Amino acid sequence: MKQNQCYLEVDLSNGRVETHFLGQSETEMFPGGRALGLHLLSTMLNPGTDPLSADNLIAFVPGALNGSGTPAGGRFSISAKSPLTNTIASSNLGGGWGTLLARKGYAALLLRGRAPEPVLLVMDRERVEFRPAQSLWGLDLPALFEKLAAEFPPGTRILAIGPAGENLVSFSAIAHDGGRMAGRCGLGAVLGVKQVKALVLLPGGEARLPAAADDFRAGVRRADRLLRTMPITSKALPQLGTAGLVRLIWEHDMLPHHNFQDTRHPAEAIEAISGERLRQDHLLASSGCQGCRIRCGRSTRAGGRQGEGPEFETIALLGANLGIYDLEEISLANYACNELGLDTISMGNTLGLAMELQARGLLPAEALELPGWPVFDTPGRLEKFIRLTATRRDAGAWLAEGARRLAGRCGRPELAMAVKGLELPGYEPRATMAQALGYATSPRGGCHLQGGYAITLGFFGGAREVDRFLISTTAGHVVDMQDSGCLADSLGICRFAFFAFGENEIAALYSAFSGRSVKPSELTAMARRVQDLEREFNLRAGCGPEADTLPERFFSEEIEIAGRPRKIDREKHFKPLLDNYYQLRGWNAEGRPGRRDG
Amino acid sequence: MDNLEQGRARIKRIGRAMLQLGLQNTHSGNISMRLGDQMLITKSGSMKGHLEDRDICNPGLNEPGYGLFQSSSETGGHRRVLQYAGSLVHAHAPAAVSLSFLLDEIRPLDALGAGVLPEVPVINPRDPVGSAELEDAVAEILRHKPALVVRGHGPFVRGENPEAAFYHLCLLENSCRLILDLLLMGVDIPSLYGSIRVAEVESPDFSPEQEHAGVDPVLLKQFRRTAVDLFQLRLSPFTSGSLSVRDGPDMIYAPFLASPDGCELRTRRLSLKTAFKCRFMAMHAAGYQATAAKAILFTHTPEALAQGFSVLAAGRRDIVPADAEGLYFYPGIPVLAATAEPGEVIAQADRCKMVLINGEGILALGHTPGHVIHHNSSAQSICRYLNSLAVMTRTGLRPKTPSQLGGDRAKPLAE
Repeated sequence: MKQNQCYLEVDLSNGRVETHFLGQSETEMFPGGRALGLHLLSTMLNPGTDPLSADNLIAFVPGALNGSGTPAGGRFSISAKSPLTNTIASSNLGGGWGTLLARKGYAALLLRGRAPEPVLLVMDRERVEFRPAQSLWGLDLPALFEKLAAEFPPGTRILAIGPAGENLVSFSAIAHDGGRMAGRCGLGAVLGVKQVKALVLLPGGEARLPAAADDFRAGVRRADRLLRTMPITSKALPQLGTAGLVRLIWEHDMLPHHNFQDTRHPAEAIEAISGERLRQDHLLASSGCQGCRIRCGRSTRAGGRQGEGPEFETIALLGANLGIYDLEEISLANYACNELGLDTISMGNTLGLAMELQARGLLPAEALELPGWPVFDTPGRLEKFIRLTATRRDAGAWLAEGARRLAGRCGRPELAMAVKGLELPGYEPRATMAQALGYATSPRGGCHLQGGYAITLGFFGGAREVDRFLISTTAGHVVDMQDSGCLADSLGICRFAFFAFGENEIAALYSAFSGRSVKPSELTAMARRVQDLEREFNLRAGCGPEADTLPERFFSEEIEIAGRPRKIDREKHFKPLLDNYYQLRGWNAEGRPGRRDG
Repeated sequence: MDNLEQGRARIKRIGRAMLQLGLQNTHSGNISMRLGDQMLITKSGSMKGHLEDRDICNPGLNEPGYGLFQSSSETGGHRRVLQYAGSLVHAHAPAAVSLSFLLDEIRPLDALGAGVLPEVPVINPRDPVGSAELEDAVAEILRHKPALVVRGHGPFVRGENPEAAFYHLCLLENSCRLILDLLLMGVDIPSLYGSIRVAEVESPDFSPEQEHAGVDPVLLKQFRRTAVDLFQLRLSPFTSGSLSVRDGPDMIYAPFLASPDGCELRTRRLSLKTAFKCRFMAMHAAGYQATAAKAILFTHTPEALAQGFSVLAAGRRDIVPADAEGLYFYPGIPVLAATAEPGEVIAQADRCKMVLINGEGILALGHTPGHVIHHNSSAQSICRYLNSLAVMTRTGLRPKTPSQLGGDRAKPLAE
């Protein structure tokens, strides 16, 4: 079928709802998800806009293949200017919300302005109802979803913010009913400032049928077969979840410890927080995004409660990084983040910074006047710090600003383990050059996914694996992986599916679905165009090449990795990588895109 | 039980050996072994000839483990077989894959293969890569048989350890090459099964520590060199073939010979007066008792076996070389029936430097290990050319013979 050709724009300030049409060339160049979100923002949003102002826009964009039946093809994107990084940001999540919007015939929903009071947006086809949400404001997410589930018919899909978003916590998330999260870049705060508590999509819509049904079915069969036969998608992720990575990453000296000061953890401690232990002691069932057979999600029980997760990143940042090796405590902390609407990566990373500041006596007097500062290797208090952060109470008022601002406020900006303001996830960059370059060049900052998912390159890329300490050709591999990721984010396909199939299979599926013959190279060109535009947006937002770097620690402090002390040599290793990266992207020496087409 | 390091070392060695033999492309196939309550398996997409520690992962034997993020797409089948076997090797062995397109069962024609792998099923799952159906079939069949071949995909072979599984793989591929050669040469295969003597095969000893009591180190080096050449030239499958040298009233005897670099040999000092039960030992001893030979080598060389079957089927008794060097050194290689007594075998070998025992292999007499392996490797070349000539003739290509044999006026020798 043809791509949806219109999007819905809602002005929260005045309640106006308009339908806008997209040109054929627009939907071809920006088919959906991250690509279309970027297109809408880059054409309508002044990059200099204050992200926590009414002028910021936020776009909810289904992946181009949402609802098509593409295996692992149910992911969609939320895009806005990030209050955490001041860059363009798109956060990607699963769940049925994107598919339902697509089935209603919309390529996107765009929100502008600010509601005069907290609202609930209830959407059907052309009708968008604003309902007062004062009574819902302050509810945590499980309570909110329970209340709304009782109010709306089955099949309704909901996106919402928790107290953290309401309180404009810089790394607050947007949650999907059923447990999925758009966690990164603080997009919850963007909804918070707009006073939107939840976006409710009522059931109903039309099936999205492929233009070439036989070809599409054949493509689905092939993709499905590949997903079924690759152990990572058929066994590792379903059985262990991403938590299964804990031991692997630790074995490769990549699991951060004490705010990335080293990667040393006792073996028995790692065993205690491993995916295997999670499965053995806490797992109730695997869970997954709509229509996904991988089912990497974990429904778990801990401390007498039930919830989702923890994922690898959560265990790494809220556990190992803080010197806490107790899966029950980590799980409860994870539940708290889910309930309050917080990104677990940024939360754990910021706590790590606070602990280092505390340990080194670098917290200023005004901070120390506040109770509630965390300490390394001290279990039993994680959930409390999380609740303080979501509500901005005590030390939580400082933590809620994220690592970059916290470190800056303490006069030690170099101690923030963040790039462009986005806190790093659970992979030590000194242990793989691709990861280092990916963090430095990701358009939304310190991100493993938009940075190119270098772990794939280093550890389970099959025949495509790249040596993790290689310099000379690594930039090319990172560019390729970032392009693949952008493509996945735009078409709405899970990154994990790329462990089983790639651009060729996706091009076949997309061609059969859209009825337009698209070559893999054209999809790659689309992804490159999107990243060029993201770059231009960021440059205009004031985020220039000086931000394409890593925290100083990684250049100056040697740690033991793979049997010898290592740091990243800025001149000999990092600069050539970055220069090479710019060149491969067709950007000039200052990192400015020089072209627009593929 | 091996520790992790030892287990990895064994898998690496087998990976290297598989590449040396061309048993798959650079990346395909996989090798696993049980290590206590854990399993080790090669990483998906790893280069089997150049495995490093990080290319061998542990996906869990009974419960899923983090190695699943890296492990082969055939992990499920490996895990199930390792419940009852020490090791499983899967390769895309070219002769076995080729035959699998034609046959539903592979019955080795060579005495060694028939002795160890009398019937190898060829299975044809709907989804021949990493599927549940394949897992089920592999797990069930290998419970009762040491090897199977997946049509168009390749063999799965089990063993007590990686070396034993690799031994089965090499025997299977050796047998398949022989059958494939005969098919291409147009020899009527079913009629040949009655002509072989199925070997009573002693299992090779794969323990890493071997004893070489009283063996001169210089001689040991020559034994090792011969073992590696046998392996690399595929003169005999892994841990098959035997070499001996005479040392006064004794012989130094090395069974299970062919092996890649780095594998230990086993040598024994045996009195020539011993009444040997083992047929091969008896032949070696008979060679020293009846001739002036100082060294004897026996190999299960498939090209020679194919030519031997072909010669006997044509009613002839000798393999006559067609190539220049072959003719220069060897006017002919006698082919004896599998039932030939050791005395007759040795007499013929003494007359012609070497002899082919039908279905079994080439036995050569000489002065040194280097001297005898020249005979066996020459036999391989001679027979390879003759086999090619037979295929050319059969396909109507009308090959011409060298001038020393009358040039193109001569009747092709392979007919």
